[in-house]
Amino acid sequence: VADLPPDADADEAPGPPRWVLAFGTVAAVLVVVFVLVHLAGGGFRGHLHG
Amino acid sequence: MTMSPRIRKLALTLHVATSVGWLGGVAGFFALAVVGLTSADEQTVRAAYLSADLMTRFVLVPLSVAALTTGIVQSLGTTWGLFRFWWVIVKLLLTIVATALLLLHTQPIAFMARAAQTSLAAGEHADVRLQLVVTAAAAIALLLVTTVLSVFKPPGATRYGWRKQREERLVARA
Repeated sequence: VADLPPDADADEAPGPPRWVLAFGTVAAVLVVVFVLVHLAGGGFRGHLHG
Repeated sequence: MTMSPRIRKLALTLHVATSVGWLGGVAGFFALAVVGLTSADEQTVRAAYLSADLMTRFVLVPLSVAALTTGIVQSLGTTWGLFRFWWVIVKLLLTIVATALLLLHTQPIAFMARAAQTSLAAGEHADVRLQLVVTAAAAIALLLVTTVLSVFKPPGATRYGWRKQREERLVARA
């Protein structure tokens, strides 16, 4: 396990790496699915005050 | 502010212990939630939800807050920083989401524990029972991802991190 970060060798500021973009895409899809499921009424409906 | 090596290792030990302890605790909670959802024995189901509530209040919530806090301290006290590398940012966001999920679910967990104090018929509050299983599974997945990020530290500096590193390099040369 590397305990220290690597040096910044690039001359230009880097953009987000590919794995971050993939991660963000998956997270966005999961959020949309979660919202759609709840809007469609298929989500969990708590009756927690009974 | 950079920590001395000894303090850094102490902070890292605390962070690893609380984070891995949290993951193990959620795995235990998941087992109780599955038993609560699937067992046909009422006494077993009631015991599962009473235990899950105690575990949540006295183990999971303290460990989640400790893992988040020690993670932030660890980032700020080392050259990794909090916003210099993408893996640190992603891990921080996932930890915040997992902590929020846990805090939001203390209510349904307490609800099931209250119901378990008297009686709990088969199939009663089935939606809440299922909710606890699904949420625990999601929390395990989130915490496994944060563990993988911590170990592999995928490359990628943010624009801010890149700028800070260049500034520090220039200062070191001067």
